[in-house]
Formats: sequence, C-alpha cells, structure tokens
Amino acid sequence: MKRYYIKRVLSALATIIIIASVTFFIMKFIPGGPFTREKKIPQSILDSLNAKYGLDEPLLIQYKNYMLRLLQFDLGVSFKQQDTTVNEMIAQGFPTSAKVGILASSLIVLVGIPIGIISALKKSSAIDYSVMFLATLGVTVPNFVIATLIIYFFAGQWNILPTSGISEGPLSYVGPMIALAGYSLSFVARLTRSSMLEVLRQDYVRTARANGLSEFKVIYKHALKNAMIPVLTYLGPMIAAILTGSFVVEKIFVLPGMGRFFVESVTNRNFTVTIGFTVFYAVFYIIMILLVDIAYSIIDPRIRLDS
Amino acid sequence: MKDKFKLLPKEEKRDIEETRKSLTYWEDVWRRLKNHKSSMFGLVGVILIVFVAIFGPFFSPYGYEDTFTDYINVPPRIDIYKITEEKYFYVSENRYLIESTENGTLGTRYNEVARDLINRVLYFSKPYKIKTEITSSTTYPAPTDLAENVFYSETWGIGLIDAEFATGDEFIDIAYIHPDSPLTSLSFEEADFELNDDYLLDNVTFINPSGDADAISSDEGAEFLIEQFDTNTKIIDIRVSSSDIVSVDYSLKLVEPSERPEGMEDVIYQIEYKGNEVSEVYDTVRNQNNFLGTDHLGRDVLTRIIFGARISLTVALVATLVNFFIGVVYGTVAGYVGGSVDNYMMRIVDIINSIPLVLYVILLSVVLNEVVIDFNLFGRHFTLFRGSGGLGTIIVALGFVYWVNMARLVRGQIIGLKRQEYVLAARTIGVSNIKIMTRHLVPNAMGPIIVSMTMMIPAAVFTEAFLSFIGLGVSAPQASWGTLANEALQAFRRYPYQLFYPSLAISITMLAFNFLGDGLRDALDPRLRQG
Amino acid sequence: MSKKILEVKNLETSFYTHLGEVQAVRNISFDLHQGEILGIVGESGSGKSVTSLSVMNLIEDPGEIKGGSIRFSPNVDDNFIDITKMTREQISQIRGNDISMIFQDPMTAMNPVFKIQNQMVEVIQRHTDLNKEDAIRRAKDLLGQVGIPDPEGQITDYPFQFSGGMRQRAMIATAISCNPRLLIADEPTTALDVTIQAQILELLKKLQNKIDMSIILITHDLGVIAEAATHVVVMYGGQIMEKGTVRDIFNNPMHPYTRGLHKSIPTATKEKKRLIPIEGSPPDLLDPPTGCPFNPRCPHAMTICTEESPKMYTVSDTQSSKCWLMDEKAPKVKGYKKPKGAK
Ligand SMILES: Nc1ncnc2c1ncn2[C@@H]1O[C@H](COP(=O)(O)OP(=O)(O)O)[C@@H](O)[C@H]1O
Ligand SMILES: [Mg+2]
Repeated sequence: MKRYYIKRVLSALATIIIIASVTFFIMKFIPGGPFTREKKIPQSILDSLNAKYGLDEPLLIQYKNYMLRLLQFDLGVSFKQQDTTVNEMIAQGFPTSAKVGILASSLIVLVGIPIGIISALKKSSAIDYSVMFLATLGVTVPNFVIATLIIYFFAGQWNILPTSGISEGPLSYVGPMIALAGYSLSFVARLTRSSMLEVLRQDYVRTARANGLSEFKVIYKHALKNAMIPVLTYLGPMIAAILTGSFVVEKIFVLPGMGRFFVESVTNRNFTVTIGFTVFYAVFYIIMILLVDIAYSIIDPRIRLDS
Repeated sequence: MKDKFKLLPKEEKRDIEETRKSLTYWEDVWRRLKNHKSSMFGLVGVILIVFVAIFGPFFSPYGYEDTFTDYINVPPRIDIYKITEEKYFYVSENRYLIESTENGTLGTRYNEVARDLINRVLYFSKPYKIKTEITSSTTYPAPTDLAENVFYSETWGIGLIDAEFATGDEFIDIAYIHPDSPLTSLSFEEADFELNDDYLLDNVTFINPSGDADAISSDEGAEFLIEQFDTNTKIIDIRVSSSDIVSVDYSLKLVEPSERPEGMEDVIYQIEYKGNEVSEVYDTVRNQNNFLGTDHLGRDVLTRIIFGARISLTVALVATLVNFFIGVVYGTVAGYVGGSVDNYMMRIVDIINSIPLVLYVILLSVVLNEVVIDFNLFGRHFTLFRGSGGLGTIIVALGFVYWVNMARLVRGQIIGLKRQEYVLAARTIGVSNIKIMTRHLVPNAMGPIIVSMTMMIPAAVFTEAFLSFIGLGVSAPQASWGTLANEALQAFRRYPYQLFYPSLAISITMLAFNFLGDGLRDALDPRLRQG
Repeated sequence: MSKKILEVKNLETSFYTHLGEVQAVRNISFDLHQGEILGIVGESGSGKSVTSLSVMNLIEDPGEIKGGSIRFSPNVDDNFIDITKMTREQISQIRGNDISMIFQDPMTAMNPVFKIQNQMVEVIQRHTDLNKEDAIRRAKDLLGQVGIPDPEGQITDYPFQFSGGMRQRAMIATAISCNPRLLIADEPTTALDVTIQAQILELLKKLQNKIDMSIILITHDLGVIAEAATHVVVMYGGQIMEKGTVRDIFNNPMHPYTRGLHKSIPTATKEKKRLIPIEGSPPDLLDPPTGCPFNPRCPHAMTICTEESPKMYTVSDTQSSKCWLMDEKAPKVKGYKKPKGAK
C-alpha cells in the first residue's frame, strides 16, 4: 500500500523533470533565439545580450544551468521587461487565478455532481431532460462565448454584474466563475449521470436491493461510491481545463491573473515567460493529478491493494 | 378441424426462420443509428456543415477579403428612418449615414461635410463621383513665390499644403491654384447643382476629417473629396457632395434612456432634412446587402463564416487524421507486440497523459510559428512549411499532441482481438504480422475508433477556436471561426452579432458532431445489442 | 405434501424498449412447497432470470410486471402476501430476510469498493436487532459455515481479493444470514470451474437441509438439475413448456423441447452417442411466433402449433406439459404417449 504512494510520487517527479526538459529543448528549436524581432538588432548588441543570459554557452551547459535554477524554483527573467522575473509575475497573478479557479472548481463539484445524480435518478423526467439539455449546451458552447454572453447580458443589458476587473468585490467573481466552470460543470454533470446510470445497472446494485437494503443505502452508499470513480478521474484533467480556460476568461473579464501574462507572452513572443509559465502550470497540474490519484486510491481499494 | 393436427413438412417450418433477416455488422449499426433521433439530427447537421464548408465558398457572392468600406459594422437587422417619401436612411453605429430602401437594401453612404464643435450634430450630404481625365499635355508651371512646404503638381496646376490645427484636425489647404488649371472647369454630370469656376475656387480648402483621403470642401456646403489624385497620370477621381444637407443629432444616444427628456425615451437619433425632423424608427428590417452584417472592415460576416467553416473543419479534420494515424500505428504496435515493448510504450503514453496538453499545443504553436521550411529545387524556390499564421502550425500542434487517447483505445481493442481464433489461425498459417495487423486487427477495431474520431473533430474545432482566440490561430486575411470570434471581441458590446454568429457556427458544429458521436457509440456498444 | 410457500399465477413480465415490447415472461404459473428445490431450466433468453427477478419484485425500468400474482408466505402460519402489490419499503423488509437471492456472476455481484464484512454486516443489521459486534460475529460464523477457510482474517478483505468460488460462498453466506424461507439461486455455478460447481451445489443442498428453506435453482444445465433439484420447470420463449418432478422430467419427458434438451447434453451413459443440438435459435421475444413458441424448431410441429397456443395438459398428478401432441386429436408420434386424462 505504501509502495503504491511512493511509486506515484516518484513517477510524478520523473514527469516533472521530463516536462521541464522537453519544454527547454522545444524552445531551443525556435530559429534565431529569443531576441529575433521584426527590427534587426545589431550583431554586437545581440552578442552581449546572449552573453548576459548565458545563451552563448553550449546547449548542455545551458540545460544544466536551467535545471539547477529550476531546482531553486527560479523560472528566470522576462526578456521583454528585463527587470521583472517570471516568479514575480506568477506571484502577482496567482492569487487572482487561484481564487477564481477554486471558486469555479467548487461550483463544479457542488453543483455538477448533485445535478448529475438527480438526473440519473429521475431518468427520462422533465428534470433530466432540462439538465441534460443545459449540460449539452454547456459542453458545446465555447467558454469565450459563455463569458461574452455573461458580460453582454448580466453586465451590459441588465447591469447586475460588473463588466470587468475584480475591483467590485465578490460580485466581480461571479462572471468569471461561471464562464470558467461552464464547460466542466456540464461535463461533470453528464459524466456523473452516465456513470450513475451505468452503476445502477450493475449486478452489485441488484444484489444490494435483493438483500433488502433501503433504497437510500442502495443509492447513496453502494451506487454513489462506485459512480464517483470515473468522475474523480476526470477531476484531475478538469483542473487543467480550468487553468487553461482561464487564459480566455481572464482576457475577456480583464482579470489580473496569470492567464493574462501567459497569453501576452505568447503574443509578444516573450519566450522565457512562456517557458516559465508552462513549467509552472505543468508542475501544478501534475501535483493536482497526484492528489486526485491518491483520493482515487482511497475510494477504490483495487488500485492501492493490487499493485 | 382435424387438419390442424397434421404434422408439418420440414421445409415449411424453415420459412419462419428465413423471414428474420440477418444483418451485417454495419447494417446493424446503421439500423440502430437510424432509431436514435438525436444522432440522426447530428448526422444531418454534420452533412450540412461539411456541404457548406466544401461548396459554400463557390456560391458565395463575395470573397472573404472583399470589403465594403461604406458599410462598416452594419448589423444583420437595421433600423431605418423615413425622411421623405423616397428617402430612407440607416444611421450606423460608427456615425455613417447610409441611404436605404424601405426593405433594407443599402445604397450610397453620405459624406460627412461638417460637424458641430462638440461632435453632437453631424452634417451629411450625398456624394457624386466624377472621374476626369485630361487629354492635353499642357503643364501649368509653379509660380516663383511658392512656399517651400507646398506640394505642387504641374499636371493639375495646384499647390497643396498640410496644415494642422489646434483641434488636432489635419487639413490640406490649397496654397495656390493655377488660373488655367483644369480643376477650375470640371463638369459634374450627376450633380444636381451647378458648379462654376467661382464656386470651386472661392475659399476652397482641402479637409481631411477621416485622415485617409484628401478632401476639398467649400463654405457653401459642398465637399470635394479627391479619392485618387495622381500627380503623374492625368486621372482624377473626385467625390463631390451636394449642398443637400442631412443633419443627424446624436445627443440623445449619449445619455441613458432614463435620463432623456420626457417623451423622448426611445429616441436615439434626431434627423433633420430640409426642415423636416424625424426621430422615430420607421422600421427594423433585414440588411439586404449583407445577410449577417459586416465586420469592422466592412467584410461580409456570412461570407467569412462560410470560408471559416472550410478552415476550421480542415484544421479539425486533418488534425484528427494525423491523430488517427499516429494513434492507430502506436496502439496497434503496442497491443500486438505486447510484452515489455508494450510496457514501455504505455509508460510513455502515461507520461504524456499527465501533461496539460493544451499548454503543449500552445508551446508547439509558438515554436512552429517561427519555423519556415523551404528548399530549392531545379532553381525554383518552394516553401514546404510556413509556420507563421498558416494552417500547418495548428494542424501539427493539434495532431501531434492529442493522439494518446487514440493509442490507448486502439491498444485495448487490439489486445482483445489478437486472442481471437481467426487471428491465431492466420498466424499459424503464416500470415505476416503486418498483414494481420492491417487486414484483421485494425478493421475489426474500427467501430470504437470511428466513435473516437467523431468526438475528436469537435474537440479539435474547439481547441482551434481557443488557440485562434488567444492569438495563435490562422492569421489574417484567412480566418477560422475562432479568429472571427477573436476579432469580434474588441467591440462585441456594440456589435454582438459579429461574435454571436461565428460562435453559433462553432456551437452547432460541436453539437452535431457530439450527437452523432453519442449515437454511434450507443449503436456500436455491444451491450445494448439485443437478439 | 408439505406446505405451499410460493404460488405464482399467470405471471407476465415485459420490457418496453425503444424497439418495442419484449415479452420476457408470458403467463406462467407454478407452485413451490416447503423444502423443495425447484429447478428452472431452459436455454439462455428463455426468461428464467426475469421470472426469478419478478419473484423478488426486482424488475426495473423499462421492465414491468404486467399481470398475474406472486403470493408468498413469509412465515409458518400461511399468511400469503402478494409480492406484486407490495410497496418498496415492505418488499425490502422481505428481501434478504424471507427471500434471498444469489446471482450468476460472483465477480460482479459484490460491490468492489466495500469490504466483505461491511457488506454482510449491513444486511444482518438491516434485518435483525444485532449490534455491530454481534453482527460481525454472526458474519464470521456464516462464512465458516459456507466453507471459507479463515473467516477471521478474510472477512476484512475486499471482494476482488477472493476467488470466484470463494466469492460465491460469501454471497451465499450473506443470502442465508437471516435464515430465509426461500433462496433463489440464478445460475449460481455457471461462471465457476466444474469442480467448484459441484462443491457449491453440495453446499446449497446441505444448507437447505440445515435451515429448512426452499430453493429455486435456475440453470441452463440439466446436469445441475439432475444433481440438486426435486422439482423442475422447463421454460422456453418466456413460457413454461413442461413441469414435474425430477423423475418425471428425466424419465418421462413429454415435451419435444424437453426431449431436445436431453439430447443436447452429454451424460455419462450417452457418451458414445452424438450430441444433437436443437436446431434453430430461440424466438425473438419482441415478436414471438404465434401459437407455440417452439413451433419453428419443433420436429413434430403441426398446423395448429403455428396458430394457437397449447393448453397445459396434465400428464400425471405431478407432471404437466404444454404441447398439442398431448391432445387427443393429435396424431401419434413415435415415443410420445398421450396422457389418459388429457383435457
Ligand atoms: N432489462 C431488459 N431490457 C430488455 N429486455 C430484457 C431485459 N432483461 C431481460 N430482457 C429480455 O428478456 C428475455 C429473457 O431474459 P432472461 O430472463 O435474462 O433469460 P435467461 O433465461 O437467460 O435468464 C430475453 O430475451 C432478454 O432479451
Ligand atoms: Mg439468466
């Protein structure tokens, strides 16, 4: 049992190292390096810039330095604003992103799972049809559309919510939260429903009924715990969807989060920032998956005892 | 009665059996799919969308780059105002006054000839276009005392000077006009007013309110806009405004309805023509020129969406095919070879799976955008791959990242299939491994693969839209639906339709493919098969 | 004759699928007495499981018990109750307590995410007043009775840590935990190895004796019937073709279908003979053939068989057969002798 957890942690570490390396080498493939601009920079300046950032060293030395810096959680400096470090940008943006992300995740878990269950239990009822209709819309309408619709109606036409920024207190989080949660909420509701229906068809549910257990116990003990297994598996990747979804949502709602820096770095070709954020996101993601896996193994004994 | 108890001959009894048709696998799937309402809906949708993407552009009256500079940001439904019996107008959001018919066919855009000091009232007049060519080769030499910063054209005999005023407006003044200049004796056929030498020359200034064209206007209220003024050729295109002035008062548009004066809550524009004031919308009609309106450059939104379908679907389809090939090859090899090869291959898949893939799509796009692969062949230059803004980047980025799920699925299928008797039989009679894989295994795993591909296409449309949205998509002038949505974002509060229709296209596509995929999955699911 | 404890009358159960109504059980009646082991036999798809689930009132959407009654006497004083008319709560008091059921596949019939102990104790506590410790003690005791080697240690295992046979034993232990009057075993040995099959059947017989319960034993294997059952119901196409004692069914099968079943199974005595499978395939219950469901495959089908459903002809006190051949107007077919008192 302990072995399972140790194995998971080690493989997460290995994955992080692989991701950091792959990211590093991918970025090295960019022809001309980070200082290529539309305007030509004189060769002498280019040389000195390269020397300053150690880009004139052999690739492997650069790689070693990069990894050593990573070990100290140092993600480097921005090539465009040369007095800011990537760490500073993350520190600046993370609290907002995290707040919106946590709100959205809670919404997904606290709303998505219950409505999925209700839908499954009331299969083919009006409730089921309307929940599934909304959920289908939710997974087919891109989040930038949801975001803009929220702004257009709730902020623009009806004046219920602020249009952008986070200056107006808790209300300003509502729009981003819904836009961010929309897709995953719908997906989780659908997944919970189909998983629940699948489990309710299982032999062991019939056994539980045949043993005379109360309907409440059959559903909320026997069915639910099994039905949550696939949902839980999805929750890990969902966090990634939320993080990456936040690029768009933060852009539309003009939130001072990390997504904005990331998108800006992409459009400005600010490569060091792009790498830094990618590595940060990836590590965050892997840790999330690790946590989900551990939760998963607690629910499903086959995972932790079978290895 | 006794007859009923006669034993039946054998053949007769078999009839009953034969009436039950035996269906092949795909016939069976098709039969089940047909019974599935939403998936038939999806199938019809998918066929329509693909049809539009392939043939739409051929039937589209405009190209995706065609711009209607007079009709910028005109929505699909327009409010028209009736000024006189025959005169209807549409006032655009960006302060253009455009002639319209009663049913919404837009005509000439009026020229703005003046505005009040606080930009509340704008004056418009109908322009007439004149194209003039002079035939004589006479030149009109410059006077000796011309100031240094004056630009002088000997062909036309006119000297122009830039002037900037304190207001920030730029004017081009006529510094000098040669007495014999052909400009003094132009004739204006379409104009409903007489022009004489005096009229034109009397205190004429070139004004340049929009900053992009040179204009002449006079105090009398007529405006001369020189659209093309080439000093070397002898052609000049001039737009002349009539002295027929329509004024539009925008004051009320700037205040909330609740703060407008009593009885004028619904009034937006107050239009005045020859003492006749109109502030009530005559009718809201469909824009006949551009069915879904125009964008910020005056391009037809419908046309852009139809062309965008092509791009979005091409990206999605090709990326899905790339995924399919990589996934199938990888999965088949892993599943068929098995053992430690399988083990290592799946370990790699596990690692890739624990990476936030969207980040890698972004990263790959960033890198690929910088890559240009070209080569010389027989002295000619070919570009094999141009990352920046091309479809290639997105296709490669999507195609090389999302194959892992396909690989897993195929591997699972292959492992199940390879133990089946016919595969073992094929192996014992010495059919080569490649043949077993391509002839026996992959075709039999096709059902779930197709389902997965149907689901991958909308996901790719989605991801492409997302990438375009954050600025990594195909670049102008080509546009995918995501690009369209992104372009519309800047001013979506004023022109929501520009965002709405591309989004609708994305959503419908997603919905259609998802419905179809769901239906196919159910139809292929052996558990739901009966009898 | 011992006391009747179950009386199924004109039971009809259908599933309403999007392809139409699947008439899984069509108008069947049978009785069960105290201490009997009633075998229900038939090809797969003949409606055996649906019959047993109907008795448990476990038919679920889109299925429905359309008609008939299932009267059951939960205790000694002959108070019959109709299971089809009970509320959910009432029936759940009966299930696991007076009537228990075990299923075909022990691999899927136990909840994978709870320990054996948890799943057993939960049932015991549902139907008794035992506290947790006592319930655990009882569970261990039951596991011992069904032949789990180390109840003390294995009770805290998860189902997937048990082998198939062990799991079926644990299922049986749970099912008998409240000394039911009736145990329904739906193909309890089908998914198991042959040696284990015999052990499980032995165990069922032993327990039946010990706690004096009746058993409905469902199987598609006449061998299992021969080994364990006292009475037999032969089902085909959702109907009962023939019923009787084991002796009747094996020594004097009157229905062509029953005979077909005999020919298609290997037995020690017939080893040298070729096995003759019944030709054709079971009927489509969405659209069952008119008349006798077996007529398309019957070697002795008559015109009437394709038109009218036969009556249940009484063959003897204990045996009856639903076949037109039993009718006095029917021609004589070699090997079939018509009952004297046929109606
Ligand atoms: N949930 C269900 N939905 C539709 N049809 C069903 C369902 N359960 C059973 N059936 C149908 O009822 C018939 C009898 O099934 P069953 O009682 O399981 O047969 P068996 O004799 O093998 O146990 C079969 O034709 C089957 O297709
Ligand atoms: Mg069965």
